[in-house]
Amino acid sequence: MNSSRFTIARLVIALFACAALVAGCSGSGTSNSGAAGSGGDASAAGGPANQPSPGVSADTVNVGYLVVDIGELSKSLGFKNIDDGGYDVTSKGIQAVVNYVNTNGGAGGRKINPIIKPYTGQSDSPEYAEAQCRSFTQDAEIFAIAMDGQFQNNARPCYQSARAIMLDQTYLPLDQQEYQAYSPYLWSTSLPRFDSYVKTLLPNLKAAGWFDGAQGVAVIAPDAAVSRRTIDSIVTPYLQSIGVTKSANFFIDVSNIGTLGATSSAALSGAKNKGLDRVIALGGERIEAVALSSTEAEELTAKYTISSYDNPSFFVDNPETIVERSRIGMVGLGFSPSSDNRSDSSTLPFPDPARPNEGLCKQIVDAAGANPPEANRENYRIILQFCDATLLLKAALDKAPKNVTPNAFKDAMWSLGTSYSSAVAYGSSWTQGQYAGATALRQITWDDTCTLKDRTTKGCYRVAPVDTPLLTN
Amino acid sequence: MNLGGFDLSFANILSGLFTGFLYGLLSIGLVLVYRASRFINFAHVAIGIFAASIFGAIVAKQGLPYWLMFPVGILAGAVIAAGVEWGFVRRISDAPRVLGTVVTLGLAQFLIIFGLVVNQSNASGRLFPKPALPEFLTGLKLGTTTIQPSFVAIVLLAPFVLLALSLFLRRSRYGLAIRAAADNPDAASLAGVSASRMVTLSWGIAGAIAAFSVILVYPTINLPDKDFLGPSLLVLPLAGAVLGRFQSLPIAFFSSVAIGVAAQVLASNQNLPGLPQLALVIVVFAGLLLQPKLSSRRDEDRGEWNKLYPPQLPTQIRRLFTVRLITPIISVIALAIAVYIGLTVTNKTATILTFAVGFTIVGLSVGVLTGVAGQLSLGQFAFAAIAGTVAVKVSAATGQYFLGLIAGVVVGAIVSALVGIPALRLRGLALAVSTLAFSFATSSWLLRQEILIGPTASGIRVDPLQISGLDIDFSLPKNYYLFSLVFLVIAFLIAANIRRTGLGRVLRALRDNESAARAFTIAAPYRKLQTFAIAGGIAGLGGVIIANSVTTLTPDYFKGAFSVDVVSQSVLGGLGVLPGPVIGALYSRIPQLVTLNAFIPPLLILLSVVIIVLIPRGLGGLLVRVRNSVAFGLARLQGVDPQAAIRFDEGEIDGEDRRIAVIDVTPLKQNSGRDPFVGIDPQALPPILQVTGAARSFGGIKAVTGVDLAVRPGEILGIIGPNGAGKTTLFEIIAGFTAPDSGSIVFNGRDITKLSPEARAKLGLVRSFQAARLYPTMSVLETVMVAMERTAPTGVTSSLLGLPMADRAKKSRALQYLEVMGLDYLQAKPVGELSTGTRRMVEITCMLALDPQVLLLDEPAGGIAQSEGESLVQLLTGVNRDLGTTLVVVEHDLPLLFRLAQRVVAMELGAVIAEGDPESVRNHPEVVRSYLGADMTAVERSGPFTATVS
Repeated sequence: MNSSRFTIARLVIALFACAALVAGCSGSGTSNSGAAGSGGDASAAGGPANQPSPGVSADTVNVGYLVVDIGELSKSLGFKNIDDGGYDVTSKGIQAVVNYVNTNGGAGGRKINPIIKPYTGQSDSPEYAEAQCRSFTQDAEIFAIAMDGQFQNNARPCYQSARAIMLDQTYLPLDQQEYQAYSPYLWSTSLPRFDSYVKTLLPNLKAAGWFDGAQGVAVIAPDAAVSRRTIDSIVTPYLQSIGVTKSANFFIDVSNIGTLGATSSAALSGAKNKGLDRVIALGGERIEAVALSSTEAEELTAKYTISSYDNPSFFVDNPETIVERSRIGMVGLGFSPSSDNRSDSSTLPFPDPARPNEGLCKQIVDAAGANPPEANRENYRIILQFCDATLLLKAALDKAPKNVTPNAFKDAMWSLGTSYSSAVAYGSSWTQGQYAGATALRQITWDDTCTLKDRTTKGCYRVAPVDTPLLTN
Repeated sequence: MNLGGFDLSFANILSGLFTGFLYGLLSIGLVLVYRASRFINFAHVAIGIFAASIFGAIVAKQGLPYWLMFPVGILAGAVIAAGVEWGFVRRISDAPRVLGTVVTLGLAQFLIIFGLVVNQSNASGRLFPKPALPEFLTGLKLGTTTIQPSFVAIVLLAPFVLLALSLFLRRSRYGLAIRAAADNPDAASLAGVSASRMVTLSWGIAGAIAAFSVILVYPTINLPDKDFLGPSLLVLPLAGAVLGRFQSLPIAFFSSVAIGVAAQVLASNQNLPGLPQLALVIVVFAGLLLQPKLSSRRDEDRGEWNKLYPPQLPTQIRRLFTVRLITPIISVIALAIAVYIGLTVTNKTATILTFAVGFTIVGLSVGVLTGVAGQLSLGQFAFAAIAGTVAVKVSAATGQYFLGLIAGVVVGAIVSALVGIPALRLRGLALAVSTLAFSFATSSWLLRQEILIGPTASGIRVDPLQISGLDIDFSLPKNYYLFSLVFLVIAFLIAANIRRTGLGRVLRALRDNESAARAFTIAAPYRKLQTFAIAGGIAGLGGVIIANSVTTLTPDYFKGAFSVDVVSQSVLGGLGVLPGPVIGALYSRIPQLVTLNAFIPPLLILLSVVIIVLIPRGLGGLLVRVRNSVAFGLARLQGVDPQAAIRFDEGEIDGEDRRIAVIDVTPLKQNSGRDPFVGIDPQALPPILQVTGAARSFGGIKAVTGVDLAVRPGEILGIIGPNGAGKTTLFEIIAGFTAPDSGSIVFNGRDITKLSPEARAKLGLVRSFQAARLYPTMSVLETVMVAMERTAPTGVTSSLLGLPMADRAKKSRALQYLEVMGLDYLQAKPVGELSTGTRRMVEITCMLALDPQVLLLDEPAGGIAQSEGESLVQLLTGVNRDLGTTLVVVEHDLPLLFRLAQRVVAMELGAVIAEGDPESVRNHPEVVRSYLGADMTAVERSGPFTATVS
């Protein structure tokens, strides 16, 4: 009947497959660079980091801006977020900052060609993160990308493999080992090194009396290599050193909202079952917010830590969602004024004259009519981050050689020292070996007596008026 | 108390106990629905969630009293569940169960997502309305543990629910009717019980229980989300239901409670993530494999697979040159479009399209496994995940991409075959449950092992493909997408070849009628494992494509829920249509290219469910209709009348009856390896078949009690006896379909008591079946070709490559048999459309094609017109005489049998009561007595039973 209809086609395909097989077997193939974050320093001489960077021409440099749009996601989850004006306003603000740089000598003499794209929170998945990365690195051929809210594990390796500089504002815990694995591509402009942060946090908690009277300490953290080694090398020895005899670690599966919710509430349940009454939340990734919105948080009488990684603004803006009692006694360290200091200018005016780039950024976006609905620091958080990344990029490229390579960019960054003042950190510097810019932290404490100007419910976070230096050793 | 990292404290076990209560209640609903309709409602939990969402939204927004609205919420669950059954599941009840499964899976997704949209004000479970308890019940403590109001309520109320359900089922008229309809729908209908109404009622009760449970427990769910509320939550109560064999409500309930406690304890070990999911797989597999006779014949999928297959083009039209060009032209155009897209789209789009290609290839594996073989796996993405990871690792270790690809495909095939082992002895939806559990264990535990992706989900880096000699940058998704198309075409052709060649025929035969296929020498276990391996290999290929398209491979690329998605999209595209999975993939993946409003994805899911219900053949079925219309148009242009062509395949040629009256089988002598028994007295030869002391009881009923039987070569032995005499059971024992409690069967001097039916058939001991159901979706020609498997088994390699030689020879021989039997004019007609008598003739044709030494015929005259009885006698006599085939015939038409048989054995109540020549047995007083009161119309169909004086 029709049995021979596709015989020729079948043979052709079979021959093609065989030919491909032979070609493949006789040639070189893939290689595996091992687990992300465990590799060596990729900036070795002669490596790809010494080749000219992509996206750079004689006159222009392509810079990507990945703006997280969580409007629909927040709606579907019923959460309230600070109104930053949304994607359109942020895009307009980015364009204004780019225009400012371009009319002020450009970046290393080149005009910045901005490629601005949204990252829709609803679509967040490994495929989406990969597709967006390909869009920037292969369709637009960027030199660098300023990004926020990139929690997918495959995002950074994708940009790294395309040799794109990442100016990353994601509140993701990355220690020095992790940064070195991504060197010279990954730069966290407003974050501290996570290992240094934890080293600074623990004595600060002790000094604040947070451990006083504790029955035991629970440590909750994302189930990631960074968390595990930070806990093993820093947290556990410290707790032992101060005489904490009862403690337990709980690792949260942050793969998706479902696992995040289930494992974080299970962690609090575990803490309750073990009789632990102090909870150190490490590493952000929404763990603390999700944990403290659970019924288990109602059951567990404990004191918690707080940090910029956990986005303190969320705890203030969603008082119904977060278990009220859990905020009482919260102490921690912040590194991001716009996240920590909800509508409170008493200890840190906005803009802060001590950090001129914050004022400059506000001025640029305001002049372009790209200002968020309210003139608070938290409303400006997103655009300040992109402005800061752009100004930092300009500062580094101004110092980089004309024939810029990733390694040359790294050297230029490290030559900035304290000459660049961050618009989004309490204090910053860029010295040899440093990939995360924040060098100063401030203590955050929950105050349940205050009332914010736009709130009827009581309570706010107070930020200490003085910096706590980041401990690097 | 901590033991080996596991928290065994009272408080932790108590937490598990409470969640176990939830699983227990949910499992009761699952069992209830299964008992009533032999169907696993995968939307069961979702129905509860949706009802709870409505309840939560009303109570939270309107401020209405909790307990006043509680019955309303429960009623909502009942109405939704009954609506799902009445509006969706019942509409496709005559289709294979895979359709209903996919419909409930799709509805589950829709109900959960839509429920979350409805229930936005309760984004956190903590904000969901809590049961308002009297003061003395709030803040209760067990030891130092405070008991949440939800749990207090569920512990207090659940026993009442269980008691009420038990009383309802045992004492009420409706409960009795439900149980009667569940146990025997036909008998219940005769007693005036509407079985379908009872099924709806059961669904309603199950929905009410689901709503009751979820409303109470919702406040304890931290972050209600589709990832958490989806199939991963359903697996736990499903495991409990499995342990209760989907029959026992108490066992299902208490098993689920135990599972809740075990899951809680296992999850407490922070160094062994994914342990609960692993344990669940072990529980499900053990539960399925260790329980004897888990499934009964009622659990068999009686769905009509032809509902999924679009009508074939008539043979005359299919042979037209222009018509033969349609499919290649469409294929070339589709491929050209796919290539053109690859050349023009951005790399971002190409990345998404490459995932779509991977999904499609995995979908093609579903097309083979489910569409052809009828095995429903909800774990295909697990095999893709394992294969993809292995491929990446092997490629990295060796530097050889194709070595990695081959390793991945082989490992995918092996794992799939291993997971398919339970399918060897399970019927129905048990495989779906076990593969679903495996799928979630793969993403939660297996992939997180060091040997695969690793424990922290950070992922493994994947370097871009390089092929020496090819100066193509495969790090560009556009190029890799085009490369992946080659493998899509290869997978497509493999799937096409399987459908088209002997392997596909064998698999369809097994799917349509496993017993008949085994009687046709098809080794069911071997072929099933082969199919699992092939499908696993194809899914593995899809996984390799996906894994190599990314820069970092993380477990999230292979979520457990994707396995469900890929089955849904394949069904939507059309399981009976080769490009079905491709069309389904386009439907489900293309919307990902754009950002959609939150309402659109659930509506697209609902639309797909509606399409499946309205068009069981899927979107691909519609395309086939269009193609057929084009083909008919082309045929008309060439002077071929489509209606005449259809009638020709139906066997109608100008109203002429082409059946022949007398069939002469002598032309088939050349195919027989034996000499005719001419001039030899069979009684002088040693028995070819010897049954000694065969006995078999079913419960308290002794069906066969120590039967001895000796069949000599070349004889025709008749077996008679009234209904219930044990004739068919004896046949089943001889043919290997029923194991004897005692006794032995010796064939050709070899003890075959322990051999499988197919092994016996291969030796030449072949049986027919009373109903002669054969393979309803296959044509007459294909059916006879399946019978050729004994003498010319289909080779897998030649089938996968689509080599036509073996099939051509088989077809030619099958046509010869059909011509001899006068059935060649029906060669294209589906067996399911034949009359019983014609099917009987086709079955006998198949028997002859099997070239048996001994043929066991079970009521060969059943369904044959009375006037054709003599022709049948002549035919069987010719088979015996000319082909040298020994015949053992069970027949109720005694005059016919007495004309045919040389020796007769009479049975009653499982024992032989008389034996000898036809005349002596006919007049044996025990025989006469045994037939008193029998329906003599049936007995004397072809003549008088009473003895004649010669």
